[in-house]
Amino acid sequence: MNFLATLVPEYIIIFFLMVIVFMDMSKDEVAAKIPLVAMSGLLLALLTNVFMAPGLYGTEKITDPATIFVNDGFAFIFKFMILASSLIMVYFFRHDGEINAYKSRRGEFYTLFYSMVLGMLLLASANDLIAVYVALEVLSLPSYIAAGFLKTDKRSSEASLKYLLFGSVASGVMLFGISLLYLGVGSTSFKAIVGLGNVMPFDVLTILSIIFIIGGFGYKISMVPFHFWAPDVFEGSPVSVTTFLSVSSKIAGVAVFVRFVVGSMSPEMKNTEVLGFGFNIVTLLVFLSIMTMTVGNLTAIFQNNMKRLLAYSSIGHIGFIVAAMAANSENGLIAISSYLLVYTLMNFGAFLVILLIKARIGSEDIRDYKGLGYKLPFLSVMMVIFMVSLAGLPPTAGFWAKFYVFTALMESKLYLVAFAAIFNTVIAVFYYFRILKTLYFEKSDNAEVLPVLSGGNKTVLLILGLPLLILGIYFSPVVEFARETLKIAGF
Amino acid sequence: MVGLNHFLVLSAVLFCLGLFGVVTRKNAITVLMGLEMILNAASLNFVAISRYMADAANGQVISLFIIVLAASEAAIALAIVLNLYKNFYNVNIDEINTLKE
Repeated sequence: MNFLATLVPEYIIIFFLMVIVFMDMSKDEVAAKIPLVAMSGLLLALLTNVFMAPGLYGTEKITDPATIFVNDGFAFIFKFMILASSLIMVYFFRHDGEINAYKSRRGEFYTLFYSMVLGMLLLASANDLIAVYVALEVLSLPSYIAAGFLKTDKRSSEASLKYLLFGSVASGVMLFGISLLYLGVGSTSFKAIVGLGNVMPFDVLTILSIIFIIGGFGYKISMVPFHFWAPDVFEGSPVSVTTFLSVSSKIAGVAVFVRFVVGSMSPEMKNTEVLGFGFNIVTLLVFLSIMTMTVGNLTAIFQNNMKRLLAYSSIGHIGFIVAAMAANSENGLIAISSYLLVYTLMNFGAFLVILLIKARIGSEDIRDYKGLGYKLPFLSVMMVIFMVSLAGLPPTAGFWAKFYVFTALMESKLYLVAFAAIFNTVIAVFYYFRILKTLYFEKSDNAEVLPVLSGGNKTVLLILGLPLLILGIYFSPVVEFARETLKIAGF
Repeated sequence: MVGLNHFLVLSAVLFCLGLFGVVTRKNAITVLMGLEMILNAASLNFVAISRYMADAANGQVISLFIIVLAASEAAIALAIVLNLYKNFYNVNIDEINTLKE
């Protein structure tokens, strides 16, 4: 089957993108329907993605280098996560006061949102470095604008500038790395890179190019030497944009990073020593993952702004995912997919709680959360579930996600990373529980009565929170789902 | 006779100058100029490599993609910088520091 025929979810997104642009140009009554149309477009794309998946089972491994986009099982599970999370995002946008303040720019916002979704979907199935670059830009350019959507807000426009500078430099350097790899290999296709992996001159230039390219991916998922933008951008952007950048955009980044590391490098290449000192791609990933989780978690301790805290905590989570990537095995890949599924649920939940609390007390500072446990009982209980899951403690799914990463690491005999991961889990417990302590054990300064939650809010919170508890008891469906989809991976 | 190495050295120099500009300059517009140099270095690399080494014209097509993306990136970047100027009356990166208490 021609690869163009498999990209139906992308075509649906493009079609609805144009519909939204035209709706925005017409009368106000029509423009008011944009969120509804956006939601139905995403739902349609999600259903198409799910119903197309069985057709992909039994497909042979894709070896044609001309295939620049592959829609294999690995792409399927990531597109599923991206589309499902975008669907929840529409709900976020409708409840984000900062975005709703600009009623007349609604169409503009949803256009940006849809282009970002399109970039993510393309990124999840890109199988050629140039396709990766184009998809990365399709994702990044609208995100720069979305981060600065509150045009008159100083913090938002500063966030936008910082994201723009870091992002465009990282992708420029990555592009230069791609051109160096093109010099070594004569092609930009992942498959060609695998084929030549064993004979290709593995010199300083190639290593440099691979480091540049990993830098580009590292910026997208905020891996440590490239993470400086994340806290500032997350703090300055509107809450719902922060959520989208920290969850969906990272899912897409991880997808392409995994496909590059696993799909384009043969096992020999990954373990080939270069430049002496026992240095190879696996040791590079091990080093990056230890750095990422340690820096992310240690810095999170000192944060008082919730969005900033979650930015650092998500850097810590990315460290776990890179560690699973370094495990370089099938179990490592299963761990990545299941970790991201859980990560989506718990981060969305945590951000939704922050959004709803902000709508009530007008602050996202932890010190203002004093005594909220008694004023907003339902929100606080949900916060406890999400925080316990983010910390990775047993009754929740977060524990199992981390557990499978540990298993994969132990299997690949990467004891150092496994030790660092355990150490980091302990740090993480400290700062997540600090929030819970503020909610329940500190007295509030005033006794004002805060507005209660609507039924819809409660339902969405339960949709995000209950699976964490249920999967915490019975996690194997997630692992089986991930294993099934990896069977039809194109690599 | 001009060969591939000449182009590679030129693009490496262009890349280093661009990166140097990005790292050292304080004015957002100048940083963006450095960025354009990085993109053009990569574009030059692609064209030269595909002319001298690869059989297909792949690299030349890629450089077309890069030109289009660089243009759209510049448009968005300038729009963001303009909006920044309206808020801060300043485009110096070091002085724009309201985040991170």
